[in-house]
Parts: sequence; C-alpha cells; structure tokens
Amino acid sequence: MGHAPGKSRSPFARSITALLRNRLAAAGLFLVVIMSFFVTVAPWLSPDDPTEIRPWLGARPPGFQHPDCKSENTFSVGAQADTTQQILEAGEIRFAVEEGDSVTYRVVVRRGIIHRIMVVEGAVPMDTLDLSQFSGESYELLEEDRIGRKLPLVALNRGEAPPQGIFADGQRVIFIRLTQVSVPSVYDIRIEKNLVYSIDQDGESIDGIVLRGDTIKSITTGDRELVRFHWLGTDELGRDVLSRILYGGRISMLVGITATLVSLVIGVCYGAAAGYFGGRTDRFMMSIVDILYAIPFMFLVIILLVLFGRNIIILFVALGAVQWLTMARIVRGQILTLKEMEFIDAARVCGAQPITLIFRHLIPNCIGPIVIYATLTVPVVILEESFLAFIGLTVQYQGENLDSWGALIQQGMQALGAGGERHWLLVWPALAMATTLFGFNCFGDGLRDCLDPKTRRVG
Amino acid sequence: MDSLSSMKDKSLLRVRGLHVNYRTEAGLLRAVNGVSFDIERGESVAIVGESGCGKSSVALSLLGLLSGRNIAIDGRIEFSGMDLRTLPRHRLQSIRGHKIAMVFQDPLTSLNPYLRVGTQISEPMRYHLGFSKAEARAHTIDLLHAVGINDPAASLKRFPHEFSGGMRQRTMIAAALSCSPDLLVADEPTTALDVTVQAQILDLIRRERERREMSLILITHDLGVVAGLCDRVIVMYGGQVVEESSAEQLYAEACHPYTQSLLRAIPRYDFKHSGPLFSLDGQPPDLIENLDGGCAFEPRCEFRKDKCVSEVPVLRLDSRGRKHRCLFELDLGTGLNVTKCHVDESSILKADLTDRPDAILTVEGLEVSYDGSGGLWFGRREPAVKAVNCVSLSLRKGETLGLVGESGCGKSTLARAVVGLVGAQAGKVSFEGNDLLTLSTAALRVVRREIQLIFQDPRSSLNPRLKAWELVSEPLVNFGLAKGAAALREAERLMELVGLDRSGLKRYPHEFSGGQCQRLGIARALALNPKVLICDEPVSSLDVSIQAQILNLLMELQASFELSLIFISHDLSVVRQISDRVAVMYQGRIVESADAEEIYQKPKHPYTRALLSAIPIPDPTVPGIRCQLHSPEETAVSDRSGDGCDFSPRCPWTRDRCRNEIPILDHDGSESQVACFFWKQHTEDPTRPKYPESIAHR
Repeated sequence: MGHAPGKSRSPFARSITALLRNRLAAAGLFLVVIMSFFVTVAPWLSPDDPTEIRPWLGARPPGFQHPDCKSENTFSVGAQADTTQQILEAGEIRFAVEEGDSVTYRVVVRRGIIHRIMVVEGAVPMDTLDLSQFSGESYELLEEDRIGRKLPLVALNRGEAPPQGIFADGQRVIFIRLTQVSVPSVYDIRIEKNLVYSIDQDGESIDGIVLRGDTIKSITTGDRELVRFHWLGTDELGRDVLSRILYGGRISMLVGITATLVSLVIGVCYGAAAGYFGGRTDRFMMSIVDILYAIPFMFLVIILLVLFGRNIIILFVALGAVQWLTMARIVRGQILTLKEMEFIDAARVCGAQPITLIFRHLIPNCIGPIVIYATLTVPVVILEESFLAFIGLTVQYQGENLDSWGALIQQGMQALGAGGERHWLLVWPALAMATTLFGFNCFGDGLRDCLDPKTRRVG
Repeated sequence: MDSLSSMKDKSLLRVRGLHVNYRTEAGLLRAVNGVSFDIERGESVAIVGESGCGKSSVALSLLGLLSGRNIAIDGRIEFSGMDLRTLPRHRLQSIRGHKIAMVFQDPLTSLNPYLRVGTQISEPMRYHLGFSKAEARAHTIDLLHAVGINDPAASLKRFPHEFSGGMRQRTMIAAALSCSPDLLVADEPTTALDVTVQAQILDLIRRERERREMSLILITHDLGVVAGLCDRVIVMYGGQVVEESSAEQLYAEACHPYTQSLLRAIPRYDFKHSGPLFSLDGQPPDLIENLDGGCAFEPRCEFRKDKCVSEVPVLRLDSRGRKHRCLFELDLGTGLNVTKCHVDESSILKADLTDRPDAILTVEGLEVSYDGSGGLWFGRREPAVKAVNCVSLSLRKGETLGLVGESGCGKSTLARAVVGLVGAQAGKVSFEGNDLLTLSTAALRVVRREIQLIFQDPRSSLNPRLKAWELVSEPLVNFGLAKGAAALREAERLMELVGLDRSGLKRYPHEFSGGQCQRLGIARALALNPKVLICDEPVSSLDVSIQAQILNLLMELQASFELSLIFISHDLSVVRQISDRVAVMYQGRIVESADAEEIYQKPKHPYTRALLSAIPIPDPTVPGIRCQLHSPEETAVSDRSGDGCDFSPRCPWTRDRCRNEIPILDHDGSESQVACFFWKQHTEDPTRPKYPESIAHR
C-alpha cells in the first residue's frame, strides 16, 4: 500500500489532533472544560449554600470572614440542637455573645437652636437626647449607613443651642447613631450525639437559649475558632458570592447547552429535510424560516415568559426555537452541496433509502459545520438568557428564582453603589461569564479553523 | 569570462539544485529533490511526470509563488543572470507577469470572477509597461484577436463566467502574453479542456511561441501533448529528474525504464493493443518517507537488479549522449514498436450479425431535460435544457459499449438516467423485459441491483466518513443481504477480487491512493453481482500508469463475471482499448455508432473524425493532422438556434440542408449508424481531401 504504515485514523480523530494543535482552540477548550467542571461540582466545591441569607452581615468585600453559624441557633438541654453541622460535631463549644443595640436619631438646627430631635425608626419626636444614657458610643451617620465622626457623649435639648462638637460648621442636619453596649456573655455548650448536654451562661447553668447570628462574636471549640470565609465576599443579603457564581453558572450553562441542543435537533432535521428534498419543498421550508426570521424573537420570548410563567422549560424551548433558524440554514446549505457529490449518487445506486442517505451519508459529512455552529450558539444563548435576567425575567423553577449569571450581574449592578464601593458584586459574576463566553467563542473559532478544510493551512 | 557571459546569454533560465519541502502533519514532504536544468532563449521544454512528482512545485517556485512557513525552498533559480530567490520583492514583482508569465491549469479559478476580462488582461500592461488606459485597451483588443476570440472589443466588457472553458484559457494566454514575456510557464494548460479545444489551445501556444520567439516550459502529465510542441523533455519521478533529452530522442529511444513505462502505458487510438494493456504496477513513491538509499523507481522497475537497491543513481550522460538517472544503459526502445496496424477491412465486414447475443439493455428514444431555475413564489421558470435528446442504444450480453463525447454532451446524464438517478421525460429503458422508467420506486430498487455504476472521481464517490469495508459492503447491507461479520467477510472477498490487500479493510478512503479508491468503487459495484456495469469516466482522473491497471482490471472482471459494460469516456484512445462497439454523442444525440474497429478505421461523421484527429499522439514522427473545428463559443448564437443538425455550426462541410433539417441515425445495412446527410460524400469522394486542407498543420 502506498500510504505510511500505522494505525488507521478516522476523520474524527484527525480533527481532534488538529484541534489540540490549534492553540486558540485548545485554550478555549481548556477554559470551557474548567468552567464546566467548576459549575458541575458546585455542590461539593461550594463552601456555602447560595440561598442562605444573613441580613446582619450585609455586603462585605472579598476575604471577609465571620463566625460560622446559622442566623438562629437554638439549644435546649436534652433536645436536638438546631445549628450548623460543624457546631453539632464539635462537642464542647464556646460562644462569645455581645447583644448590643443601636438607635439612630435625626437632629435639626434652625437659626442656631435645635429645632427638632427625632428617632428615625418610627419618626418619634423627642425633647431631650442624652447621648451618655446607655454608656455606649455615638457616631455621626453618613449617607448609606457609613459611620462618620465619633461624637462626644453630651446631652441635646430642643430649643437650646447645640453643644460643641456635634455639628460641623454650617451643618444643619445630623444623623446620630447611638450604640447601646451590653455586657458580653459567654456560653459554653456541650453537645453529644446531636443532643445538647449542658448550657452554661457565664458559668451558670441554664435550660435553653436562642443565639442570634448577629450577636455572636466568636465561636471556639478547644483552641480552634469556627469561621466562615467568603473568598469573593457577600452580597447585601449576606449570601456568599462565590457560591452564587458557581450555582448561577449551572443555570447559565444548562440554559446555554440545552437550548443549543434543542436548536440542534430542530435545525438539523429541518435543514436536512429541506436540503435533501430540495426543489419546491426546499423553497417552501426555507420561506418559513425567512418569515420566522422576520419576527423580533426577543419580544416573542419575553411574551412567552410573561404568558406562561418564567419556567425554565419554557425558556429552553423559547431560546432553542430562536436559534434553530440559523442552524437549519447552515445544514441545508451543506446538504445541498453534499447532495450533488458523487458518493451520494453512489449510495443511491447501491440501493440506499432516503433515511440511510440522510443519516449515514449526509449528516455525518456536515458534522463539522454543525459542531462549530453549535459551539458558537452556546455563548449566544447564555448572553440572551442573561439579557432576559437583566431585564428582570429571571428563570424560575417550581416558583423559585434561579439566579443565573445574568441575574447576579443585574443584582450586582443595583447594589453597586454610587461610587462603585460594592464592586465585587458585579465584577466577579461578570468575569465568570466573560471567561466562559470567551472560552466557547475561542473553541468555536478554533474548531472552525481546523474542521473547515478551506481555512486549513498547507500541510 | 567571455565564455561565461556567452553562456549566460544563451541560457535564459538556470535552475540549480532546487529543493522544495512541505512540512505536513505526517512529516516532511520532499516534493522537489535537487532539480537542475537550463532553458535557452526561444527553447520549448516540457516537464513531464505523474501527479505528485513535483512538477507543479517546480513551476510555482520559478515564479516565487511558493511561500509560507510550511514551505522550505533551497537552490538557485537564475533568470537572465539574476537570482530570483534572493531578489527583493519589488524587483521580483517586476519580473513576474512581465518577463515570466504563467498559464494555470484551471482557467475558471485563475481568473477573478468579479473583474471584467478586459481589465484582467490589461492589468499587467498598465502595471509593468506603464500603458495608459487607451493604449492598454488597444493592445488588449489586439491580443484577444491574436488568441482567436471573436469580436474582441465586445469581449473586453464581459465577465469570465460568460466565457466557455476554452475561451477562458485563451483569455489567460492573452493575459500571459500581454507583456511579451521571455518565458511562458504553462502548468497543465489543457488538462481541464476537451480534446478538440485542447488541440486549438496547443496550436495557439505553438503559434504564439514561434511568433514571439518566446521560451516555453510546458508542465504536463500527457506525453501526447508534448510530442508536437516541445524541443526538449524533462521527465520527473519522485521529485527528481530521471531523464532529460530531446523530444525526438525520447520518443525514439527512451532510456530510463520509467519514461519507457510511461510511453508504453499510454493507450493509442491509432492501434489496438492485443491482450491486457501494459501497466506500471505499484504506486509512485511516498515522498514523506525518507528516501533511503537506492533508486527511487526501483520498486516498480521491471529491470531492477540488486545494485538498484543499494546504489543511488545520479543524473549522468551515458555513452550515447543520453542524460538519465539509471545505473544501467538500457536499450529499451519505446515499446511502441507496434506499427500502426492495418486491420483489413474484410475483418470488419466479416462480423456476423446473426451470432451476436441478445441485447440485455436497450434504450429507446430517451429524453432527459433539466428544469430551469425559478418557480414557487415569484418569477418564471426558465426553459428546460435537453441534456439527452432522443437517444437509442442497445447493449448486448457480455459486450462493452463505449460512449464518447465532449464534456456537456449528455453522456453522464444518459448513464444516470439509465440507473434512475435522474428522471427521464420520454423514452424507454428496457432491462430484461422491464421498462425501468415505468417501474415503481420499490421495484426499480430491486432491478437496480443488476445495473451498477462506477463513478468518475474515485475519491468523491466514496463517503469519507466510512471505512473501506463499510463502503464495499454497503449495497449488501442496504438490501439486507449481509450484516456485521458477514458483511466484513464479503467485503474482504470483494477487495481481494479487485486486487486490494485485506489490511485496507478498516482504513478510510483518504488513506488510499486514487487508483486504489477506484478499485474500492469497483468492488462496491460488484457487491450485488450485477449484470450491467456502467462506467462513467472511470479512469479520467487517474494517472496514465494507474489508468492501465484499472482498465485491465475491468477487462478481467468482465471476462470472469460475463459483465456487460457501458464505458463512458471523453478519451477515444481509452475507449478503443476496451470497447467492442462505440457510440459518439454530440449535444445530447448520438451522431454515430459502429463497431470499434470500424469507427477508428473509417469514421463517418465529421464530428467523429474531428475528435479522432484532435487526439495528440505521443509520437513526434506521426504527422499530426489537425482538423480544426469551430469551437462552439465562436459560433454566433443565431447559427445554433433553428432546426438543423446540432453540429452544423462547427462542421467544416456544412451545407444548407444541414441548417434546416435534423439528420437521423442512418443505417447503412451493417451495424453502424451515422447521423449525417453527407457522410458518404465526405468519406468516399476521392477528390475531396480527407480533412479540409486549410486547417491541416505540420
């Protein structure tokens, strides 16, 4: 035989080799595989339940850590404790608790005298405000709940001039936060086999206690401190951003891949049928495609989602139904050229039936363009879904919101703040999405380069 | 110094130690391996070889058209004393198209479809010679006139797609000649053209070369084309020059066994070989593998000796002044010492009509037309084109019917209509008493098992995603005759039958060579044990040496399986070797049909005679008689419309009757039929020259 000896390689195997040799495609494939892996193993990888709300934490920057507990941890002697698994397993555990409270007041001066004093919550007017009453501390509260100057602990009376050090020059209105400091207490709790054995509050034995997450300052067992670390910070509801990105990626990828598969099945069958039968049938079928193209599909999807609910299944169908049009055109074009090739006639002469022709001879030979287009469709669908989420049409499943990357980005945008101080809520989800889209696009382009013989380099 | 300069004056182009390597997936492909030659001013040299021997790489590297990071070129290319390889880019560009011009194989792809013909021809003149628009235009009109295009002024404004293949090639030649180059490189200039058009183009090249005293490098695989055109021939094999000599000497006493094999493998229309055709076994060397010591041709050489395996031959002058790369001084002759055989006419007439077997397949009044485009929503349908027009044929059991004609004459459509790949509008195709055209799809599918088709392009007729055994056993699987392991066994048997090794069973088509692919196609066609095999140009895309192998295989199989063959080809020489009877088709009609011997000895229809005379004969001593037809594009459209003979616009003997009446196939009492009113006058009138005098050449 004239060819070099060695293992026979199928066209598919040759394409794979060419693909891996193409650096861009290999990089894209690597990114896609990495991202897919991360979102697939999210439940095992993710440190936190993405839906767990800790309102007392608020939005915290990446690297933030806090005592690892639930928002309410209930212990009563002889009963099962309601808390985290880690605490249950710890055996002997010590909680340092500081129950404090804070009140915000609004003070207005007019013509040099205090015109009004009022508790912000409930707008309760007062005549006298003694800042030293709780032996706590007082601060000026700035916009967006930021803490400003520390204020002296003095008394303010309505109708009198304000004491020194409260108002800055020319300042007319001030918000004062007065924190009430309570005595810290320590709870030592012993848990055996999930049952609470004993509870000691500052050395005294008690029967039961509910420890609120916002009051717990530290949790220690032995000399180990139990903390929850947030790599990418938390959002304004105290949810872990990393977990939300990983779970959001599952939604985005699921939508992208499933809708692509839907478009693949419809598009390939439709396009192959149109191309194979040709003539009148082809013109008729492709006219339908042209008509469908003319419909502004984003509106259609929006209407579908509004009418039938934001069910994820509807979304798959709706997005897939938009994408199959181009797939049908591509496959039809390929089939039209392939149909004229001699091996199709040869197969026909060998007695091949139309089904055999289409599925054994035609479609396998246009697998290249199909794979390329499918790969490039996934990022398009992911983007479209993000767009829908961005305008508030978050997908739901059984009535629960499924926050995809689009939804995370939208929420990040809203919580960003005027100076962009909570940037991590926007940056990280956006980065995750961009990386994935970049991966898919590179992979698709690389695939095109190595599967399409016309662009293949000599040799 | 004097001698050096005089040498330089004399030789226009000197190539020394040219190497071209391509980096491929499989390894380094040594396409050109140390080629050296000189071209003198005004000399015409042919570079000949099979596909893959590196001849096109030589041509492209001469013009500096090979570049890229996967290509490595080494060696010296000196043109008028300048080294083209070290020349700066702008100077190279001023030589390219000006001093050296090139004509490519495919005139369709080498013309820019978006530019008018006039623009493309005048572009080099405006660029290299600094002509003004008007000057260039005037010059272009002259050129178009010189290359034989009617109404050159109007042609300037036309686009390449409005031209036929021959006209496009003329246009390419005009563009190449526009700056009066010193050297014209023609890379397979006629391979894509019909034989009658080929004759015209070769004639044009010869004429222009002589007129302009231009040097010519003709790159071709066809030794027949070379014979009348070139002074010197360089034969390449495996990226090396294996023989270099003057044309006369080469054809008379080729000394390298490869050259001799090439010459012997060419089927000649002017005599019939008895027995199997000479075929060069094996495959050309794989240039990716390292050429380990020994002669590259050794594995295929019939004269090989032990020395050939170990010793690498060098290109040398032997004692008789021949330059070749063979260790021995073989005296082989041409192998063509069969002189033109004169079949005595009695043997033709003797053929007894009564003992001929019955027809197995008959075609009566078959008409196939292709629909014009348009329809469904808007627009009118364009009128249909009749590809096959009232064709009647019969194929007898065990015989081979050759079907000959130029491209577009409807011969392939006829084959497709017979096997039901295209629908027929009228007529009858009877096979063993069934009319195939009226059968239901299911019934037709069953009958089709008996009639199989072999395709022109062996590669494109095999699904690239299936393995060899799947391809070969596919008909069996489709008809539910075998499955799985049984199909594999059957495929093994079939592949053995066509001479393929069983190690190829699990390989994909791209891993086979062209000839092997065609063997696969034949194996597949034989899978269902058909009675009729229709071969649609089965060898036209193969090299000469492989062509003979396939023809021999077909003849063997026909004998052992009692097959009836319809052999379709544009190549009359090939048809002669294999056919018992021959039918000639022109524009959808059969214009002549007769026994093979008779048609080659005594062609009746003017078209048949033109076809025969246009075939280049690989022998410079045979006086070529060129019967020049008007090529179809040169005839005004008004001439063609009308009810007359389709051939009348191109026929040198056209009379009034031909333009007004359609001739029907005329039986002259024997088996032969001819559709011409005046054939008797042409062939029997002794006062008439055999071919019109005005157009006979050489």
